[in-house]
Amino acid sequence: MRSQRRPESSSVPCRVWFAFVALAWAGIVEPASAADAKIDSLESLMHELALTDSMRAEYTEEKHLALLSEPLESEGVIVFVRPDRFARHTLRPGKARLVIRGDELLTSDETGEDRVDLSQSDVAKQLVGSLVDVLGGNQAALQANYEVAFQAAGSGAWSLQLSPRSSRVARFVEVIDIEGVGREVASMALREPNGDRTVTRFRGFETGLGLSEAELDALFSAARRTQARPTAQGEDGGTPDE
Amino acid sequence: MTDRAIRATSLLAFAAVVAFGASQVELTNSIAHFLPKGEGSVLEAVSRRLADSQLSRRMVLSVGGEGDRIAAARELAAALAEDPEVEWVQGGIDDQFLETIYQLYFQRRAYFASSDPEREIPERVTSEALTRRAQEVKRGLQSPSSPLITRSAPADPLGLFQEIIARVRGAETSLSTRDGHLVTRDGERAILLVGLRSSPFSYANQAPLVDSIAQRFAELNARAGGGLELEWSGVNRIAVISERGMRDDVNRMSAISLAGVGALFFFLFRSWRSLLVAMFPPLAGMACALALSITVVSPLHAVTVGFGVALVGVAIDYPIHLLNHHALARNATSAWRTAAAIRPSLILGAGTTIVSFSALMLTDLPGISEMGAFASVGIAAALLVTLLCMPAFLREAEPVPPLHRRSAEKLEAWVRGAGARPARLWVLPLGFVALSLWGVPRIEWMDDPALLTLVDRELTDEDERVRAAISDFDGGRFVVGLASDPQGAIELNDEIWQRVASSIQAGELGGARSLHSLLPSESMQLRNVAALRAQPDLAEQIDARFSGVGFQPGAFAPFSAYLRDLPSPPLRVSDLRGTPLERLLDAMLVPVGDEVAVITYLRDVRSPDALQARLAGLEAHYFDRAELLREIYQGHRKTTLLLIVAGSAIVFLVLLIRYRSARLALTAFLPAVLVATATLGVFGTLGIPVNLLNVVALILVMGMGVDYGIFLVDSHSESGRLGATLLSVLFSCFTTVFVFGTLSLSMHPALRSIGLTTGVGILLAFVLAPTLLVIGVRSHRPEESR
Repeated sequence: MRSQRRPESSSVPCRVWFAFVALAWAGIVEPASAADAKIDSLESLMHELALTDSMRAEYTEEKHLALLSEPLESEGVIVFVRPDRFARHTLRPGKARLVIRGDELLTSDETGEDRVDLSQSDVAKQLVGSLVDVLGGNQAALQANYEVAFQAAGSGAWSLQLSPRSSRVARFVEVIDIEGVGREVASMALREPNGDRTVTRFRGFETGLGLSEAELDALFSAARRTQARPTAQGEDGGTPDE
Repeated sequence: MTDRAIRATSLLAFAAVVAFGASQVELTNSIAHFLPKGEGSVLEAVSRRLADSQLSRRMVLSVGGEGDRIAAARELAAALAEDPEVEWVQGGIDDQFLETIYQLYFQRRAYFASSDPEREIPERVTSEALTRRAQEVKRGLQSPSSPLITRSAPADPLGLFQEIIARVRGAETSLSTRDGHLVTRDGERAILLVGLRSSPFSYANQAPLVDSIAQRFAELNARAGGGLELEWSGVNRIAVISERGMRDDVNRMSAISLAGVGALFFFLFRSWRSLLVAMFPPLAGMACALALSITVVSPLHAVTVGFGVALVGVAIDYPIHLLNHHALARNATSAWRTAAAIRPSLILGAGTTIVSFSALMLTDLPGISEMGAFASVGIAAALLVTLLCMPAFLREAEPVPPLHRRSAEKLEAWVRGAGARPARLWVLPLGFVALSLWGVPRIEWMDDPALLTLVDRELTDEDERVRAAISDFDGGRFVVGLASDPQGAIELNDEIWQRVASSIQAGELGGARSLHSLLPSESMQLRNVAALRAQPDLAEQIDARFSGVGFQPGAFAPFSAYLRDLPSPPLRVSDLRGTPLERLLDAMLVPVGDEVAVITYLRDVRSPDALQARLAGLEAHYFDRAELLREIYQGHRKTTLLLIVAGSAIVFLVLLIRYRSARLALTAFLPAVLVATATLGVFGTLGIPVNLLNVVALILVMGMGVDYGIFLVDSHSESGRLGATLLSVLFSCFTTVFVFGTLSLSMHPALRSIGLTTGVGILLAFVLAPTLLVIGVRSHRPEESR
């Protein structure tokens, strides 16, 4: 099954390009690469991240759990749209989908679908929402939930260490280490008090996705299990459940 | 005692009784008044109990429209929490609720594994089932909630606690949550659940709450831009609005009746004083009935009070009779003498009416019995005031307008003239008989008590909408099991659940909400543990299957230890008391007299008969409340008709003893009987549905019909006196038709029924009574009647 085509970004690249160049010459837009951004504090990092209105990246995840003999590996795609929409489409080993819309968590896989109101539980909200807060540059939320330690590593590289403030959350999360360069998050490592670790690496960052309302609906709707795989280039992508 | 002293004393007593009644009266519009109070069937008891149980002591508020609905609902919740009438407010499912479920159920998860443990548990622990479960757990570990799973899975590899959460949440509400607040599934409306401290039918408690909510919402809606809208579901709101409607209705009807009767009096007597004097006995009678009733029953049903207002139209017949006879007396005489002369007729007329109404007190519908008692007391008091006080208010020679005397003379002349050609008169009674024979078999009986209570259609529609949004279970259809104690009821419910579940599986039923989800019986819980422990090598099997899909060998040892040691005893009713689940428990486990009912709520009942058949052999019944109430009302309607027949037989017997002549007794009695059947015949012919209150109103009609008969028979032998009586009857008929005519305009269906029956019946009685008098006494000599 073919997924939906992205009409806007793929059909008018020339017009967008010319408009962009014209604005740049006029000094209205200052093109900046991720690495160019000067990031030397938590505030500057959050400011930079907050400039991203939407992003997409591929991810690979390794879970080192005491319960399992082998690490659990998975890979797929994440999409973030400001202010608080996030989707994670797992493509391997099985197809699964996770969508966050504000305080709403929707999950689906081959066994069915589920919806969770994250506002009902601080623990669930913080477990799920920390990456969304980082991607959105939501410094207030991050600092409300975590002790945040920032470190700049030069050339736009940075790292964050998040330690839960709530004792209830601390029963499940010891620390979250996040690393990145400029506006791009490179990896996230979650360590649990029992020694379990989950390491997620991101690559292929694309920002400014320019998603239409229909594409947003398709990506973040509750019941859809087959979704377009949006890219900044407008290419059609696979879908998690196809 | 002098006339002046009698006047002063009676007026003072009247004022005192009125003051007492007005200060103490509390009205209700509860349907519970029209549900049987006696033993009846267990289902009747359950129905009555549910009508005023904790289930009805709740209210649902639904905030929709444009604007921040959740913020508005939260603000409303905060205001409600401080209201003295509000026992609890729930706007969300908080961590405390989840914590409660964890505390109650996690350590007891093995007790809840299955509702058919001996069959299902072996199926759950086969190699294939355990492998599927292991894969499911592993898939869960890929989700963000894996830290939660890694902690719970070693102690609960079968996912027993997860299933309990799903069941409890399914039983708790069909609502969703957003930002921690309860919302409808489509997220369009924010919901507040509110518990009430007192009866929803208590106007004094509920009216301030209803007003306060309306006012508070108007304020916050104004601040939010005016786009929000509030919908309600709650018996209390409907009761408050209905009672306000009833009060307005009663006031309006009283005003119209009094104005109409006043105008009639002025037309006939040309004297306001006569009107005031004539109104005194019926008003005093009703005031006495009201005062006496509220000392015995409180709150009074609004229909009883409306009925009481209508009784003025009956009780005024006695003063009219006295007033007319005194005014038309040939020689000036004292009012006391006139009263003495007509006393036997008045006592007999009132006595027969009281006998008829007293029969109503035998019914076990509190509302009907209340009306019977009210009417009996009111009529008796009005008669006593007419005979013992009213003469003191009358002058020796009351001025009589010429029209008045002329009317009496013409009426008497017409009746006596008609006696010369009695054969023609037979047409009328025979016509009544024909009308009865034609119409009565065609009557459409309406036996739904809900149709007798005053409920605004818009309100009930809104109520339905809100209830549908929060729960898709049918509010009027249940399976009810009965046992002698809570433990027995819970054990019975295990079996009920089995049958209901098989009914769902067979497609006879869309779904059910059962106490079984929260609390299976102790024996069922222990059977689960026994079944789990009975599985050979369960720990080894789990270890093997889970390690087969990648779990560490030995990772599930905590489950083996748990199953061996079981840290908590089975869950009991007492464990749920004081927790947020207590409200759910109370909705499903309801005391009924000395027994306990366990209620299973149903959805989409497709085959009631099949469901009922599945419950065979259990102390449990499928219960369709509307259908049951229809059956109950049908039974009571028939019983009331029988009571009327029995009461009529007694009345006839009394008349026979009084007149010692079957012909005269029949002359006085037949108008009542023929009018009652002909009135029903009119309804049957015109297709007007007839209900229990129409039947009750027939007693009024018959009471007045007999009165007319007695007055006419008693006065026919005396020249001049018959004219006065005929004029009294005509005047009584006008006042009665006027009073009951206004009643038929009432918003309240019950009062409308009474008004219509009485209005039609009295008109027929007025035509028939003199006709039968002429037929009945044409060969009867005056001496015979003395």
